[in-house]
Amino acid sequence: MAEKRAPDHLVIQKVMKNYGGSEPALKSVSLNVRKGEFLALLGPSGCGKTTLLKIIAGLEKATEGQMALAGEGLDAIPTYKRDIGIVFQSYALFPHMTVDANIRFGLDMRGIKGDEADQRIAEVLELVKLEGLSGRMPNALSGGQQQRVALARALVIRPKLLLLDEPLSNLDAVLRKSVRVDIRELHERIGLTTVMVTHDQEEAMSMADRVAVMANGYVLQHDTPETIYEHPASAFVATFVGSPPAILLPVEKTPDGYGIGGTAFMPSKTLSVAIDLQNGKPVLLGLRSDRLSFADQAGPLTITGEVHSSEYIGGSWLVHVALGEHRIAVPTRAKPPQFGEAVHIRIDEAETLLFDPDTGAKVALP
Amino acid sequence: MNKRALMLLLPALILSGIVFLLPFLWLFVTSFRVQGEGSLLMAEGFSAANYARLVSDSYFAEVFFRTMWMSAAATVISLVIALPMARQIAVSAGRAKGLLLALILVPLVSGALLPTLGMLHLLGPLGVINSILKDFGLTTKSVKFLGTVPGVIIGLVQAFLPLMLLPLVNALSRLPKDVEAAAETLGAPTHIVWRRVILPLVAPGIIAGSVLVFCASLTSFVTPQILGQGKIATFGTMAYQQASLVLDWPFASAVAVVMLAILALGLAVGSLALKLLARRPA
Ligand SMILES: Nc1ncnc2c1ncn2[C@@H]1O[C@H](COP(=O)(O)OP(=O)(O)OP(=O)(O)O)[C@@H](O)[C@H]1O
Ligand SMILES: [Mg+2]
Repeated sequence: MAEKRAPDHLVIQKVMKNYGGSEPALKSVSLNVRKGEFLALLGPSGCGKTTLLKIIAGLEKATEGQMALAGEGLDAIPTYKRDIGIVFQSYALFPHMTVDANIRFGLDMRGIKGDEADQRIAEVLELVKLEGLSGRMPNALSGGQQQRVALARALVIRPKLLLLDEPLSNLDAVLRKSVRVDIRELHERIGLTTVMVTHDQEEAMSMADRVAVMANGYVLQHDTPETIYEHPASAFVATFVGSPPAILLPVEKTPDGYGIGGTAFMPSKTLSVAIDLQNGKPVLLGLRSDRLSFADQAGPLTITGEVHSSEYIGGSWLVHVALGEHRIAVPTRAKPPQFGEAVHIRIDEAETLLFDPDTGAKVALP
Repeated sequence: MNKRALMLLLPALILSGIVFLLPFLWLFVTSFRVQGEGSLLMAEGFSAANYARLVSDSYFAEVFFRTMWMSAAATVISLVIALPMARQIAVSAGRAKGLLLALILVPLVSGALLPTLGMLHLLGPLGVINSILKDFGLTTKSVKFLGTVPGVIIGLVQAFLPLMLLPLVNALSRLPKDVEAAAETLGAPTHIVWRRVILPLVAPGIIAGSVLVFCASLTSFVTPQILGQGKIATFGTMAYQQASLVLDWPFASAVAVVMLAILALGLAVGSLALKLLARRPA
């Protein structure tokens, strides 16, 4: 990339966290977040996302590892001196204080009073579009409004870093889409370095500059949404990210070539070399539906299967093809073939993903 | 309330009428009679003589104020001791929490007598506390707890601490998730988190616990009787003395009525505080 890289703002090195259970919640996490960047921590439930966020904010202590924010080691700094704004999944507004008092709290702690405080509160209220609600109690606000108060409360202290823990998960589907755009716009306007936790891959891919995919206490891949989608580092990332996510099909060697679930698969020269290099071990072929099409006849880079069913999805069809016990959906604009008919699916070599079935690691093409 | 509900409630209403209201009514009426001169029978007619005696005799005023301030002291000390304990119980998980709560309840269900007799051994001149104080060289002579005001206050705190703990544990367990963490990340050190977030949110529990401990201390009899060893007169011991030793039932009744009035006042102040709290603007 030609653009100049911003310097690292938050650096996390080999952070491990054990709550005392048999397995640590975080095994070894290393991450860097650049200044002004929007990073999404993406992973399934229970993979340690909230734990990592709490460790960054100082609310939990890492068992091992170091962190630095703006070049300064964080380990010896208590939470209340870290200048890190956080929006909790539950919002955690102070229920006994008005919206104004909630937002003013952080300013009070910094000794900011009077006109300056009033002005800054008015500023953030405008930023989150909540003017006129400053006298309300939190329980008199809708979920979306509460979420924006929580955001305003975190922003008003002008933190060095903003942490968002599943900020959209308590909102309904429609609101979620619009708040997604709002948060992204806000980020572009004020350029605050932001780490957002989510288990929704669509949310992560559409909002973040870079995404860190987590599973089981590890970061599996940390890159731009495009790279993660096009070049997933492992089988897990490929199946977790993208709509539709990738489907994994085991490729076996047959007497007359290669097959998937007992049906014929004709790889290209490069692919067959890569498969053969695995010394007879089966390889997982990762395919995304939206990149598949039908071919008129069998040939290199085709898989032959049988039509199982088809569904009309408005303007086009999705044809479900059976490859032995496996199923794969192929989009087509033409009239779909009949049930039981043999069809040839064309795959694109440049977009083909191969993974080791044991480790899930990516198999490089020669 | 509809008719059906009233019918269903009727037996309970009649029972509480007989068991609670009638004795109170009788107490109230009796307090306006006087003992016949040189007789165990009550004289004819009604008068406010008992109340006049309570107000005019400085001995009774002394007992009144002593009981009040000892109860207040027991309340404040209970609160100070109970807050950290309740916090610890509230944040502990699963089985530990159940066990700790059960331990709190033991003194409540065992009655006042047994624990107070235990305190007698702890606080006596040759008791555990004095021998510890001597072992550590903090004192050479035994400290006198029994028959002193501090001794009785210690006993009251011991007896009524659960009444403070239970509402506090309840309130602290219901603190909304993450509000303390939010305050901390906004720049509040621990003591400010307590003052501005935790305490205001558990205020209803503090009020409830304080009213309970205050009222229980005010009316207690066993603790001041045993630990005070007859030297510390309170409302409870005074009413007992008048009724069982002096055999002046009308006067004992007047003492009891005053005690009840203060109790009602305490409850009223508590619920007023709760109401004000609920509608406080900021
Ligand atoms: N306070 C705690 N004590 C013990 N174990 C904990 C604690 N908090 C979290 N864990 C465990 O650590 C692991 C990671 O939890 P964490 O809350 O970080 O997951 P998450 O990725 O945020 O999940 P979700 O998407 O469901 O919020 C889980 O297995 C969880 O049970
Ligand atoms: Mg979480």
